[in-house]
This record gives sequence, structure tokens and C-alpha cells, in this order.
Amino acid sequence: MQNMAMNALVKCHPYVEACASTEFSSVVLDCIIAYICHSEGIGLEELWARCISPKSLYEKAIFNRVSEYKTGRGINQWINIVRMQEYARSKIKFIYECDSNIMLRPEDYRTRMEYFDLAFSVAANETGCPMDKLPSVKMYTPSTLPDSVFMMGRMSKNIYRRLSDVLRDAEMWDEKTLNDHNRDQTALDAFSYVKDMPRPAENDMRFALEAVSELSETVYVPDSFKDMIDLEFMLMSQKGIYMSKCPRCGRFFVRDPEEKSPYCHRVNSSGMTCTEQINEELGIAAMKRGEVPVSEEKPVSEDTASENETVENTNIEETAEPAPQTEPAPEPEEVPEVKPEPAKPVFFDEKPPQPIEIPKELEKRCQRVYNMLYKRIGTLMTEKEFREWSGYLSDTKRDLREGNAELSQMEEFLDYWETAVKKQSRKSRRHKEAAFDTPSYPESLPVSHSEKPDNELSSMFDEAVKAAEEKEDSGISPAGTEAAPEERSFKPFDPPKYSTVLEAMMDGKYKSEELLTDSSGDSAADGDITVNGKKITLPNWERITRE
Amino acid sequence: MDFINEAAAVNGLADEIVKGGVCLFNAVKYIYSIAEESFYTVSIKDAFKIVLNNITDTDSLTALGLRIDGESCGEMMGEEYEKVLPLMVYSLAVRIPVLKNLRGASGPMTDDQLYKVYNAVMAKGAENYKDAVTESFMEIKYLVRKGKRLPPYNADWFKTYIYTSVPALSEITNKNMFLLGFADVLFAMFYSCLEEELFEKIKEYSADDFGESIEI
Repeated sequence: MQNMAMNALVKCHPYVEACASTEFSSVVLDCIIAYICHSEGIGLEELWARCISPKSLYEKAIFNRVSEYKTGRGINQWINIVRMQEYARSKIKFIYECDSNIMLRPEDYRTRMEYFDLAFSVAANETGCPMDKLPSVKMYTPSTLPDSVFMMGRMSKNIYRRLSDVLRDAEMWDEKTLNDHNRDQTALDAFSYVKDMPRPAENDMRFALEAVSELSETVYVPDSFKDMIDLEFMLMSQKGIYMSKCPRCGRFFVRDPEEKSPYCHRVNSSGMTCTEQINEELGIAAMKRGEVPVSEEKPVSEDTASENETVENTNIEETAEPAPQTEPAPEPEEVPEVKPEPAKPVFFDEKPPQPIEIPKELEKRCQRVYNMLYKRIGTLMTEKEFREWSGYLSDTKRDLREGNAELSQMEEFLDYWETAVKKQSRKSRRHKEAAFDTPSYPESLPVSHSEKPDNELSSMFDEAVKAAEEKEDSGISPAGTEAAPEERSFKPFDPPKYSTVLEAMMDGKYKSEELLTDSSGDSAADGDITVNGKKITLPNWERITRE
Repeated sequence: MDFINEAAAVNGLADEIVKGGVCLFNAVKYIYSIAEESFYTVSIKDAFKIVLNNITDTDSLTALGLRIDGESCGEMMGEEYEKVLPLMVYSLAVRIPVLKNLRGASGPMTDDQLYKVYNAVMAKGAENYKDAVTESFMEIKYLVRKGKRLPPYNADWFKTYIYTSVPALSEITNKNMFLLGFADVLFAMFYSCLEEELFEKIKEYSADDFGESIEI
């Protein structure tokens, strides 16, 4: 069981895997300790006191491990991994998060990284943490590694054989006398034994060449996990590897600087990559607009003429420009200009889109419609449908900001949903009235309330989505597409605030009078309304003044 | 007091006292080793908690990363200091009459029973080396019988012995001053916990029902 958990845990990072038998050997126990403390709401001190007289091996293991934390001989490596993940996330976000359509210059990324690291150093310095005690990465060549004599054993033995005469009478160093001040002196004293050593014979050199070529040129020795992460960032920066946030799934990915698409190539739950999905969606939108995708604009040769004819017959109404008639084959030099590169994703927008700022009134209206629909989860739509709807709203907003949609589209979308909400309000009111008027038949009531509205409302939702999809011209992602996770998340319900009753009435909150009048046709005099023979007295709102 | 098996009870109690002595002896070494290199990493309070919760087993102290070897407590590796172990057991053995304070339905332990336990402990190697421990079995027995207040168990005999017989520990050094400081507290607290442990053992061996025991 422990091995299984261990195997699963160490896959989180190669560093953890490499140190599975040393630093991270107790990570499973650490995870259990963290879980106990979290689930029972106790601290380490209490857990330690509980296991101070261990009655089982389990308690003893916990006691020993917590004792290690207490005496600074160990840390909870499980918590360390979790915190390290957070550190790496923050650093990625700090360095690489930017407008997805823009790739920064390498020096910009480097500056961001340096800024982040310097901020860390400032914090450490200001909190009194000695900088030399903080983890660091040491860089070596294989022969200068602290254990190089053992790692390159065969070569070392050969060298020792050659130097054995000199080293036999050498004076041994007293370790206690070595300190920071005499490092050079010590090193040069050691060098004095090899200074007269001639280069070895050709055979020995060939042997050395074989041994050296098996080893890496540079060996990094990080003190800790954090340094390993920092090293990764540093080497990425040095080697020109940059990350970018996919505007579709919100996850970071390594982006090729020559790649135009800001979307990632990670296969998601749909079985497609975000790039493929967005191309497909944009392709559909372009088809609806009547544009021919760039990739299909290649000239028609005789061989493909008959095939194109069938395409013409089927799509002739949808395409604005008719497909070229059968023509002689184009000149060979023109072909490469028209032919698109197959590896690169296809984009339809030739000119850069103009971002549109969403007016505050429209933002407020969006929020109002959002709140109205949120309140009607379970009646007008299910939670899943609401999530899809909210995703659609987020997508539309994003498209507006990116210049891929127009304000009128957003307004139409909101108009539609406001109308849908009003319709639903009327219907539910009618249901209430019907329930109030009909003689009491308890058996029949649940049927009318539970089954019928659900079907009606879900069909209303489908209808609405379909209509919204039809209305969109281009640029707006269809309903149900994924937005970035932060946009997708539910917001807590924020009820509309009104400073006056009049404002609330204007907003449609108190339209019962008008609705009842319209539906029944019975107008009421002096504020009273008669519905199916029953009189309802409406509240008489008066402005109270000091006079 | 009636025991289910008196011989087993006497032997068991003697064992418990000897184990207590060994534990105290090791605990002193472990805590002394804190001063070597763990002074700022190991809390002595934690060490005390562990010792007092495991009166007859000091292995748990290794969880704090402490060890007793020539490097961490070389001053205690001499032959003279080894005599502290029989002295410690003896110092606990002379206090056996205190067990008379536990009274069951058949009464407290008789003088004969207490003496048997004392003899069993002495047979296991307890010794008043160089008469370092000033208290005696008879003296404590007299005080208990008269119902007089006993002097608290303390480390005075231990300190006196060290000053007179263990030169390596009698030097004025940081480590040695640390030893003399914590010994006072440890000895008093340890004895209090050991006494409780011995009462529990007696209840286990006794034929009496201690559901409503009376401790004087």
C-alpha cells in the first residue's frame, strides 16, 4: 500500500523521484500526518503528545516523524511538495502570463524572472534569513564534483598510479585547519603534487576520452527542491523555451516563438487540442459568414475539377464567392504563394481585430441577467445549463475584448434572455393562479408542477441556445464552449440593489399589476385587481415626506 | 496485602524498580547529550515529556535524534560513572516502604512483603557505592510508619557523587553545568511518576479489588 502511494507520489516531479529513497522517503507518512492534523483539526504538538507512549508501530512511526519535525531534522515533505507546486505556479504566472496574442522579447521574460527572484531575496533578507543558508544550485564539471574521484573511478585509479610516488610522502591535511580563508592555499598545495605531471600516453588519453564522453558536460547540484525548480526556469530562459497561457483552457504550455496560434496543443477531454477546436469553430463561423477559408483557396486543377463541382453543388448557397471554374492549371511559380503551410494552424482574420471596451451599462445589464438566471436555476434551467450559459456569456465578453464580436450581438443575446425570463415569470404566475383557483385535488398538483415545467423549460433553453447560435455572425464561440477556468467559476449571488421603490419597479421587480392586467384582461380600479373573480389589493406606495 | 501470586508480585515490583533506575540512568545520558550539538534544536521540555511518559523505556528519546555514545557523552563513559547505575537503583530501593501508602481491601503491603521487594532489588545489583546515598530503607520505613512527611526525592546524592568521584563531570564546563541543572528537576519528577507506576503495578498483582482504592 505504502509502495503504491509512494510510486504515485514520486511521479509529481523527477527531483522527487530521484530523492524517493532519501529526502522523500517518508512522504507517505507525511501525507498521513498532514491528513490527520487537517481532518481532526489538531496541531503537530497535540499529535505528538498523543503518540508519546506509542502502543503500535503506526503510532511509533508518527511519533518519530513528528519528533524529526520538532528537532529540525526533517520537514513534512508532502506539504513541501504542495507548497512547491504553488511556488512554481506563481512563478510561471509572474513570468509568462501576458496577452496571449503577444510573445514578449526574451529579455522581458528574463527581467520578469530576475524581478521575481530578487523579490524573494528581498523578502528573505528583510526577514533576517541569512542568504548563505538559503538553498542554491552549484554547477560543476564531472571532474570537479565533490565525489568525482569515486564517480570517475577508473580514470582516478590510473592517475593515482602515475602519481603514487609523489603522493606517498605527502603530508595529510588536518580537516580542522581548513577554512574559508585558506581555500586557495589548500588547493594550490594539492596542485603542487601534480604540477610536473606530463600528459598521458595516447592510449590513456583515448581511454579518458571514452570515459569523459559518457558524462554530461555540466553537472548541477541543487541543494533543495526549490532550487531545482529555479534551475528549470533559468535553463528554460537560457535555451529560449517560453510558456504561454492558452486563452481557451487557461493552462500554460510551451509555445514555439514562431507559432502564431495562442492556443495549446494539449489534447483535452473532447479528444482534440484547443488549436484544433478553435480552428474548427472559426471555420464554422466563417462558413456561416460565407467566407472561404484560406486553406481552401487553392486553384483548382483539372484533376480536382469534378470533385469541386460536387462541392459547389452542395455549398453553393453558403459561399459568397463562387468557386473558380475549371481553368487551365496555374503557372508553377504561383503555386507556392497560394498553398498554405499544413503544419501551422489556420487563421481567418487577416487584419488585426480591434478590441472593444464593454460599456459599464452593458456590464451592469449582464450582471442583472446573470443574477436573474442564477435565481432561476432549477426552474428556468438546470445548473449545468446555467454553467453553459455563463460560459457562453464569458466567451462573448472575451470575444468583444479581443475584437472578434460586436456590441449588438451581446445586446441581442441579453435581450433574448431577458424576454425568456419574463416569459417564464408569467408562466409560473399563471401556474400559481391555476393552483389557487382550481378545487383542491392534491393528487393532480404534483404532476403539473414537477413534470411539465421541466420539459418546457429545457426545451426553452435549447431553443434559446439555438437562436443565439443562429444570431452570431462571427467571432463568438458557440454555447457550451469552455472558457478559461477563472472566467467560468460561479460568482456568489449578488442581489440587485435599488435605492428607491420606483427604481425597482422600473427594473421589472413589481410588474405584477401590468402582467395581471394583460393576462386576464380585468383592469382594476383604485389599485385593486380582480383575477378570476377574486380581488387582490395591491400595495399603495406613497412617498413619505417630512411635511 | 493479598497478592494473586506473591512471589511474582515481589519479582515484578523489583523488576519495575530496576527498570526505572536503568531508565533514569539512560535519561540522564540522553539529556546530557543535548548539550553537545542539539542545544538549539532539541527542546529539553520535549525530552522530559518523553521520559516521564515512558518511565521504563527510554528508547523513544532516540526519536529526538539523541544518542549516547563516546562522542556525545564521552565524559559519562568512565568506570566511575558506571557506578551511578547501582546507586540510582539503590536510591529507589530505599524508598520501597512508600508503597505501604497504597491500601487495598486486605490492607497495605506488609513490612515483610516490602522487605522481600527490597531484597529482590538488592539482589539484582543495587548497591550503595561509597555510601553515596544517605537515605536508608529503615529510615524511610520509620518515617512512613510514623506518618511523617518524607523528604522529596532529589539529586543531591548524585551531585555529591559526581563532585567526589567523576572528575570529568565535576569540571566547570557548559555541559556539566547543564547536567547539574537538569538533574535536580528530572530526579524529582521522575520519582513521582515511578511511584504512580509502582502503585499501578501493585494493583495489577493484588488480589484485592481496587475499584474504590484508598491512597493515603
